[in-house]
Amino acid sequence: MNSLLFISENVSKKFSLAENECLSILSFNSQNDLSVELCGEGAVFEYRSLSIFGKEEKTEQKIRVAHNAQNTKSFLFARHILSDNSKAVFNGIIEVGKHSSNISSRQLVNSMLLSPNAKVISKPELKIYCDDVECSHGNTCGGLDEDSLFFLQSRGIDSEQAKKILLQAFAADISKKHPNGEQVSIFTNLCLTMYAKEQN
Amino acid sequence: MLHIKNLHVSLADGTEIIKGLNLSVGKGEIHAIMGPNGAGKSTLSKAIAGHPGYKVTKGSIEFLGKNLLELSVSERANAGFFIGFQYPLEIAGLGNEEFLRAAIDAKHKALNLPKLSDDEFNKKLENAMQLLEMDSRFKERGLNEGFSGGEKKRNEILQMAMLEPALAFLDETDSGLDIDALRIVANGINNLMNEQRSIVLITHYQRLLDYAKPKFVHVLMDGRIARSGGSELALELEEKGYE
Repeated sequence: MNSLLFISENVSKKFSLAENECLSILSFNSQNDLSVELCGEGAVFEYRSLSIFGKEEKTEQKIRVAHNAQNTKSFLFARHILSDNSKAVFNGIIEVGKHSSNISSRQLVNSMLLSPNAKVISKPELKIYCDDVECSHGNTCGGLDEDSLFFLQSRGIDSEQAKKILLQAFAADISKKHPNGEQVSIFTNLCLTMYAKEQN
Repeated sequence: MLHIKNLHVSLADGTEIIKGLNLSVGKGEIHAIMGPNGAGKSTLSKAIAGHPGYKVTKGSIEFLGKNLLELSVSERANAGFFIGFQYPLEIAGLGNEEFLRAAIDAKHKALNLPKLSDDEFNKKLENAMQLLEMDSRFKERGLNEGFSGGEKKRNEILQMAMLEPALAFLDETDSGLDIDALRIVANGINNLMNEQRSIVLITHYQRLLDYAKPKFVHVLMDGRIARSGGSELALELEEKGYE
């Protein structure tokens, strides 16, 4: 498996995956415009992205995946932690051609909005010209769970630390299955420590 | 140890649930609070713990000489109060061991105690897990993530064993347990009891009280303690009901 790590970058790139080739991208606070063609049978593309933004920051990600061969798989997974007036746009475009069969494509965007002015726009686009396809997309959006916060505090953890723990737990799912996950959790930790400090 | 006087508690919408409750718990005592559904048993324990959804509108709670109502939720915990939840929640992505480490570290920091070394922590955790008959897989798993009802309740008592509170309110810790899990949980509770520690068992059933024998039994009805007595009261309630 090929794996790539983008940390705070602007990446605009095209990829083409041959037979049984597998590409896994982990992105942290990056603005990406990617186009991925799954040209060979059995090719797999995985994209995991974590964005932690605040102040007036804006980010936009456009990920296009074209399933041009049979038995290909794609997985787009993004999580956002947005505070202040920050804004994130996630645009996942899945294309399945006429002659591609047995396709699996999943797309999931979870956003944690920590201020009433933070915004997320999630735009899944599915262009499917074939029947033998399993495609799903999901989108959730919410704030920190009050009951979870209370629970952690009831175990002696103060509110600042409890918020940080919950945000870390939310972020952990993105990086834990990637070979470079450890690096991303270090950055996540730094960002969340800064966020928790600003809140108190 | 705990003195609750004329306590009134309301929900955010103003509905009064606890209506002038008095309760005292001494050191080294097991108490049981029984009562019909909706009487205010869970509200009482959450209000003592400081849940923001439950407002104390009147009355006082003194715990180990401190005015508990002036303390934040975490300060109450670090003062030695523990609540065992009726419905323990799941936090995906937070490892059980990682969580326990954070809680122990927070306690030691609050009490100005030196931080536990990794060895000390591991040993403590091993002992607690042995007591609750939990195998080491429970360390790595997410907090209550995919745990069965019984495993979640055992995990609550595991947290109690790690945090060693002076007073624990265990809210229906026995509900949803099969016979083996009930024995394990009751055994854990009995093991953790000592002359300095008190436990209040909130329960619907006599069966937990067969294992962990209370000195006092209270009946909570319509937001007040309607009756108090010795352990024989629980048997009478089981037989005759609350009316």
